[in-house]
Amino acid sequence: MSHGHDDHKHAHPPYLAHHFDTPAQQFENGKLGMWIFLGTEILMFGGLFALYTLYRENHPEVYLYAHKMLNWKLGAINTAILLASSWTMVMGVRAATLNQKRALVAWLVATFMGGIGFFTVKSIEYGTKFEHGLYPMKWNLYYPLDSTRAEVSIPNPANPSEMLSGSLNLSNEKYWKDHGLTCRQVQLACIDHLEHDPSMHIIEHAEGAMHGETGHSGHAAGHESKDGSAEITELAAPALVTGRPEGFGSNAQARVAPHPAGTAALQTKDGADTAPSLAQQLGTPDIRTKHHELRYTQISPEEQDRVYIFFSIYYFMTGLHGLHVAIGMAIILWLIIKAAKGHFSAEYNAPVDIGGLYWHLVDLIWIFLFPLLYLIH
Amino acid sequence: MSHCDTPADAGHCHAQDDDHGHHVVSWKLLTAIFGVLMVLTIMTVAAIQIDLGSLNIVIAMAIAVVKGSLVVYYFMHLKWDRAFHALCILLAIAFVGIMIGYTLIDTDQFKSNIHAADVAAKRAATK
Repeated sequence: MSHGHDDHKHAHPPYLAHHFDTPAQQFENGKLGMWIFLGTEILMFGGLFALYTLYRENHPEVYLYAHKMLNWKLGAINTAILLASSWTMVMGVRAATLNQKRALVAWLVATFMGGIGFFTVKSIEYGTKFEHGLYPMKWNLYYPLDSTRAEVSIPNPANPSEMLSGSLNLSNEKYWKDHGLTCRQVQLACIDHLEHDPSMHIIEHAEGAMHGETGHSGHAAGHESKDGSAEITELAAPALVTGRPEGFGSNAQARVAPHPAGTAALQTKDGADTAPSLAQQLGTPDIRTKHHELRYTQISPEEQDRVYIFFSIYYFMTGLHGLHVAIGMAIILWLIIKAAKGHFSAEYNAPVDIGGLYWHLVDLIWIFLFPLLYLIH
Repeated sequence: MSHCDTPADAGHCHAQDDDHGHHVVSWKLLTAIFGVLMVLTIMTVAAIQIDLGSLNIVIAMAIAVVKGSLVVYYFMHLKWDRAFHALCILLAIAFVGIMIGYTLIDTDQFKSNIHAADVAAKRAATK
């Protein structure tokens, strides 16, 4: 009123800040500010998306391999939770504009619960990773691509499976140049190499054989416990049984037992014929078309070194996103308190609207993070 | 304002106090959008099970863009909002695109060096 504009008939309500002429002007200014802020948020996440794209472009095989350690089902559940909470939020905004004060509180509480659900799932995910020793900011020893494998797989013409891994040996620069392969093709070949990695088959089959499909497996397990060394890993038992049943004695066990985590690598080194024949006998499941979850503790130390950069990116992106979820939840909590006190009405609900915009951005970012991190083909 | 609740009301309707820029959107529309978003999420997960080579990432990103657009357009009310707000978001996305695009052009040019380094490092390790 003190502004002296005669043309507008609005009273100066208590929620109207003195530097605005009308509630509409105040609302529009707040919204504009929020949209500009959301633009800067997208730019900030854009830096991380650029990092992700850059590393994926150069090392697609790392992504393909490492993402198998993420549980995509939990990621999908969190996607559903965030979408649902986005819906409850927009219903809350609607309730606010319709002056439905109790409904507003209910929708906001539902949205807040969505945030709690998201963090519950996320803490299960992070918890499993930490349990396995997959902490953020671990040193990455990814380079060189294939040095550890070179020591264990010496091409053996008698064994076609081994020849396969031999032919994909990236150290043999002459080999792929002679065959007219480009860098790009060799990189793709490297993906195949990782997927034909005997150690991964051992893990696959160990899980299958644990259900007692093979008679050998059950027999051997009994035999094993008699020796009093139950330490033998679930991984090693079926591999040894199927590969060389007669050799499943104390010497085989002595090789495996001291290195539960490094079993796969040791197997490849000591019994080069074991793993391919195992794959042949049991039939190799094509892990490229299925999303098996690999456990970090089940892969060899060499393989573990390969996944750190992926997980640094994973922790950074999901961590920054999680921070936004936490801030969003704090904003919603504040909105719940204000709404319960009856501060919002059909005329004044800008905080609900603008807080909602922030919450939707959190959902928006996750819509892109979920397929990029959990669903890699 | 309760006229917005009537079932006959399709799409959206305006609140009485139009000056404030509030638009009351039909709850049916919002719920339908939520349903579509859930279906698209299931589609994303289903599509990744099929091996389509490099098409997989294209499909996954295309679905994500559709989902994101639905969220921005309906949940964030951009459909009924000022065009300038859309400009804020689109400019930000465009600049992220420029950043990622030029980074990729750069890394593609030096890719062979990365592989040469890989090979050299591996040779050193095998010796």
